Amino acid sequence: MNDWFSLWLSLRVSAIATVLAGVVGVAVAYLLAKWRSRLASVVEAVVTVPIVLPPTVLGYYLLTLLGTRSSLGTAWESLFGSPLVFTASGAVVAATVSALPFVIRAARAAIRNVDSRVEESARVMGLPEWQVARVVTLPLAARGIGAGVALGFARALGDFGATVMVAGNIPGQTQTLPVAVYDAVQAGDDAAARTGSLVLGAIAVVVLVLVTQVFASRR
Amino acid sequence: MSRFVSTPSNESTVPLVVEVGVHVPGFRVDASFCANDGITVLAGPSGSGKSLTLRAVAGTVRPSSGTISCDGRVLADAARGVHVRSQDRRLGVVYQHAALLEHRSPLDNVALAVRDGNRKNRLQTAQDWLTRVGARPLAEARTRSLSGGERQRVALARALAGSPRILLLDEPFSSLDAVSRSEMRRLVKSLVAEQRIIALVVTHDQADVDALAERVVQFEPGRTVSSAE
Repeated sequence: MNDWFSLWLSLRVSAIATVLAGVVGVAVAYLLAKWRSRLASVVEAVVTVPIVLPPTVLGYYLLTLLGTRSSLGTAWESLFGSPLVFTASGAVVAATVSALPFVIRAARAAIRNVDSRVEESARVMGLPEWQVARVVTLPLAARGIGAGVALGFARALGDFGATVMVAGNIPGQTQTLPVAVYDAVQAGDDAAARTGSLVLGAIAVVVLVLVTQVFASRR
Repeated sequence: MSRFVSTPSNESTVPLVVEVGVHVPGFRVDASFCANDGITVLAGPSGSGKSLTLRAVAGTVRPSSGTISCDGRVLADAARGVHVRSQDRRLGVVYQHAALLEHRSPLDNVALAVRDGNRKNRLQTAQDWLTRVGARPLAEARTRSLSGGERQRVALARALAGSPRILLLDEPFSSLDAVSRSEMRRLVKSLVAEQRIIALVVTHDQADVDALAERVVQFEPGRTVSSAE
């Protein structure tokens, strides 16, 4: 049952990508929110560009950057013994990069919205900067960060273009559910396409309800 | 309230010496005053630069000129590029809106400010301070459900729990009703005297000046005009 494999692979890839995008995204968002420099807006544009790039173009960049003939791809292969592209790990990278800007944009906005007087009084009472972040800023920004992470998960789960470019379309190995839906349509298998689409649609609705009801609502 | 008592010229005998220019977009204040142990009120109309001066003492804005020193230790010197971090200035602060952490209990809020000891000792110190400000029953209350007066009591406990040398209060009573305001004034006055610390209180309320001030630094828009007790 390739459909079940594709769903399971999609969920695994999205979950790992969400964790990676969450950790990296929140760290980058924190720096961008606190860093007052023109260079910050350049960095911000670079890290959020996957939102506006066609996914296939993003996938092409990743393929070029991580392919077996690139230095990063060679380093990965010598470290782990197999190439990164056209594997499930490649799908994780594609999903992570696709999800990252959603996390960064939501988290940066949430961190910037934290009342600076509360952070200021924490500093004045002696808390070191990392404690201010841990005890004050991040908990107060948690809802916005959570919403960004949830959207990042939905984006990772739904990614097609970047995933198919970087991980390929190998049934039973790298074929995620969105790619399987595409394959089913190409093969005229309406039932499989319908099932896959319904599952993805249902997950997307659940995530959006979660974002609206849990993260975006006021305490 | 007319006797001129201290200027930066006799700084060797005065604990806190502030002689700074602070510039933020669209506004500049030049402040020059000294403060001894006890309460010094920074008075003047809204927008005269009192709070900005207080933030310079807190270290949350950098002076563009001049120096701030406390007990002979330079906290800021614009010419030499010295700027001691807020965390290292031994300060306590109470803002108009208490700026408590809503997601932590009042007890936790106060314990975070205690600098020494293990968690148990810090909680005990925090309990003691809550008791001293009359907020012991609020220790485990939901912070966001506290009244304005209760919040300011907790904020005062938090400000003092870190054993500050300088206590900064920025319009601390302006959001309180008359009864709470009067109680808080008495509390601040007695605790500052007992702890023998320097307290700078920013206010534009003459009643605060009359009730609290041992010294008054008068501000006009953009500058200090007198320092008297």
